[in-house]
Amino acid sequence: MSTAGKDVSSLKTIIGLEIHCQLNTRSKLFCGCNTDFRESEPNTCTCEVCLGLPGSMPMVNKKAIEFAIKVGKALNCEILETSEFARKNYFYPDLPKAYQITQYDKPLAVQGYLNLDIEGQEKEIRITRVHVEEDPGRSVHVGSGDRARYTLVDYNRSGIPLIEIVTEPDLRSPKEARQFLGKLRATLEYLNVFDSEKEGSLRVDANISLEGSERVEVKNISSYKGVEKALTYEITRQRNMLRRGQKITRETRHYQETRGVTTSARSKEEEDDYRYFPEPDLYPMHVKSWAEDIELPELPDARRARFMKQYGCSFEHAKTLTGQLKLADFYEKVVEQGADASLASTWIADILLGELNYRDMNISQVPTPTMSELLSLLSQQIITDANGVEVLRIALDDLLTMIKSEKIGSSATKTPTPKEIVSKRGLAKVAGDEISEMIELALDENPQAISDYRAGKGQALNFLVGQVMKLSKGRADPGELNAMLSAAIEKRGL
Amino acid sequence: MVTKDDVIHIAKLCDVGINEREIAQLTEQFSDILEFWSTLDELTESDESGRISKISNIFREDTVTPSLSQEQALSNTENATDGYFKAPRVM
Amino acid sequence: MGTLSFSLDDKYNAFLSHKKEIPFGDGPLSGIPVAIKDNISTLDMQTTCASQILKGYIPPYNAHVVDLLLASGAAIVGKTNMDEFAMGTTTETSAYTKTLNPRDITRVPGGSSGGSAAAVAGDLVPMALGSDTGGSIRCPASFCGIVGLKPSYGRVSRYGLIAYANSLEQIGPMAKSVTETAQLFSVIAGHDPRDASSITAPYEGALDPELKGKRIAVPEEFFGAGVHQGVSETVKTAIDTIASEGAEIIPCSIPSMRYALSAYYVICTSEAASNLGRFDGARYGKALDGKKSWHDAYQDHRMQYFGPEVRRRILLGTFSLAAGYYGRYYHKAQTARQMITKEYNHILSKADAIMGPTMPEIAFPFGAKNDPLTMYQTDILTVPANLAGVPALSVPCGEVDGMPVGLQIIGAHGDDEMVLNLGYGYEMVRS
Repeated sequence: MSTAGKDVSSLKTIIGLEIHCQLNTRSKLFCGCNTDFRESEPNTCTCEVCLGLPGSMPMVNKKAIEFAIKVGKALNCEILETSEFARKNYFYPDLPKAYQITQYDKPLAVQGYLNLDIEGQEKEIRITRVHVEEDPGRSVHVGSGDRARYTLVDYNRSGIPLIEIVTEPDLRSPKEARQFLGKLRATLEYLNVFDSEKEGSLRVDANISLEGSERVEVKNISSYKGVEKALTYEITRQRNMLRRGQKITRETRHYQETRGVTTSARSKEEEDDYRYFPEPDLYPMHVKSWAEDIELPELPDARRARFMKQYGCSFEHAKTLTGQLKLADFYEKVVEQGADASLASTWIADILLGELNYRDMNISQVPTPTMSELLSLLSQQIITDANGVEVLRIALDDLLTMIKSEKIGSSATKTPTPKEIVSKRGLAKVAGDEISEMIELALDENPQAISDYRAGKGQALNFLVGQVMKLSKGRADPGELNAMLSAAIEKRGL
Repeated sequence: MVTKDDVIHIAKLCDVGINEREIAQLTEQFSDILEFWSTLDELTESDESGRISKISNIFREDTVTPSLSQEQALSNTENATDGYFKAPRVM
Repeated sequence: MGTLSFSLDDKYNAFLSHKKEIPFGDGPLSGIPVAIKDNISTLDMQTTCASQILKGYIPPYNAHVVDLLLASGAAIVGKTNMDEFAMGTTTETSAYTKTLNPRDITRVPGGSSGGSAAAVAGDLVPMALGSDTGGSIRCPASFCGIVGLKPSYGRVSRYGLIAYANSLEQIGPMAKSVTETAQLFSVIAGHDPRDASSITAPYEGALDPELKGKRIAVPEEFFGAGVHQGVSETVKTAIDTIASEGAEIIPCSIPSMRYALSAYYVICTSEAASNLGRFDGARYGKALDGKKSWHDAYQDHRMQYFGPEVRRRILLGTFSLAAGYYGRYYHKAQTARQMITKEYNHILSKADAIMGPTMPEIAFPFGAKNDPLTMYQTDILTVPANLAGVPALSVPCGEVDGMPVGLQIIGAHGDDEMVLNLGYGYEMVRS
């Protein structure tokens, strides 16, 4: 049936996600090799088990299962009575045993949900299942496309414990998908089972379709921003196809991050036959009662509610602050160090975050005393808001420089504190006398503005405020200036 | 019972190369063997697993143990480059 | 402790590789030369599974049992020949050499642990390790006239045993007498934390020959039409001897035997098809042809370096598991397995052991069985013990046409003690 000309833009978007996260256990899922391999030379964190050497046998890491149970519980899932590992058989250079040990018909947890806050409305995204499996090794294809010459493989990653989370197709837009991932990531961080700062620790595959059409699988998305971009591109591509009267075929596509496009991988008409069967070298897990005894830490929604109650944060601020574990911890620590809770919530949620994003920094790179000292200066009105932002920017730039130089081996020097920055650059708020002098000078230099103001042009006052700000090098408080200037002008008129 | 196409499909699925001569022979042998296996059709599949042992919850603690050195890991291949294993390109 | 000088005149082609000077330590097996089947991983000694695809492979680790042997002071002298990847009943599928039966060199030694059996039967070593997935220790023990034990599943660690069928196989001892077999067993039995199927059940080694009062179940299916008459009679005589020492003979029936062979072959080929996928030449063994693309190279590699029997079993296993084909057979085989296990356990709850022939015939000439199905059917009496995970011993009990016949003694899971005791008791009274 041709869809050309139909109102394609009104078709509902249907998105389901399949997320793989690396669990941050100390050792791998089936052997004792170190999971901290990122700084290591290739093939230096392997053993006969994760290399799949003949005769080797897997042994399940209890901590990985504990972490998986926590995730299942946090996602409100039912932990199954009997859970088993299975072999998924296929051939690829990065899969050393030619099968992946995963979970098939008896996963760890099923049928849960995660609540999202979408523009003030709560929306439940259903979780189909949560299961545990091992990561394969990492392939590097040398030469590209048709002229790919060979594949280099590093098995350091082989055997890293992964948790796979599958959602129902409840997401209705690329933006919602990104929000879901943000909430999921935060939840996993709160559970302390996942380190989001590790490269490649979270991978997403998406199934996306327009109502009434076949679904397309998009693989190889490895960042949050990537998710929204990839899905937006894909949905646009699908809409355009329908507008042209073309039919969407069921297929797998790969997201190419650098180009921002999805490209066809292969047609998905036939289901792959992985010949699943229970892993004969491993035994069933009966972890339901163990799961009942596992206590979860405070999760994002609970922490958000507590921030609102305990610190008087607005819903939006609380949501932002609790959206990342480290950010929430940062906020509470800063308040603990004496900062005003309300001031801190505005400055951290609205200002600091923006400055960090701009510099591609993360919250763990900022020492809490830096923030609490800055907030203290602001509370005491030693600096103006404008200069507060200036101090913050300088402090962050200093930190960034230090971090970069640390990376190339020079030793860390302490960066200047906010107090030191203020004093060194003379950013302290001007005292009352000084301002009066500057006001008189500005009025002396701009008689036209005075006349304009008296003639009723409100703009003139803004202009004068600007002039005083210039004279004070930003150390005057614009709010206060309005009143002071009006008074000064009036005085002259007398 | 088993056709040549079945044999060819299965060989592709498990990436086992077989030559022309073998296809005919295997088709015949498999027909015999699968005919033999058909006694199993007398049984109704149950939900029971095939496990004889009733053990469960076999775990190990999350402790790091020494890995092989890179040299040991690569010791059985002639095709190593800069510490990586080398395999033919995947199309 | 010391160094053993091992000079080998391998007239039966039992060994694939061996050492000439072997240092050894103190312990219960101090200085005793022991041979190991070439599917058991030995650090710094080539381990090939008698396949071309693993030519030159030297494992960077020892199998658990090898570590135990070394700790007991044994001198590991070499690796023995076998059917390729343990898939066979005669050792004829080895890609390297043809092992001869020391009792008659025109006949097969049995398989797949034929090299280990020939090494012991031919007086090259007093003890050897084999592995038994569907009879691979008991068959060559029976054909060569020695003793071989397939232990209870889980009693001996499989860590380092190159897997053929994980849920069925065990490493086990082979020697000329039950005493020596038991001695070797006491060294290798015990828990291994790296093998999830491993149970804590060490073997203490005290043998008790008392036969009086023992209850012996004798299933009619073990003496059916497929069993050679001479073999039947010889084994019946042996059982009569045991009875005359005061044991009680209880005739019984195991109807589920009818499914045993099919269930066995479905399960072992399925597991094998999966286990053998890893031999792609990228990390060990023969290297892939770099000029081809991955899948082409991989397929051609397996065609070239796996023998026909191995490829046949991989294909069969893939049939068993593939959706839309015979995928249902895997599940039915599991059902059959449960049935057989229940029946065996039931009988063994009312008897101390089951007895019957190990093999349905004596060792046959080379090349006598070249049709796969005919070959598979010789496993009929040995596979049930693997399916049920129970211990089974083969001990020589006479001859037919000058060739040895093996008496099979099968016990309840964990009761290897009973099985060895009965074997020992019989040895003492056998004429």
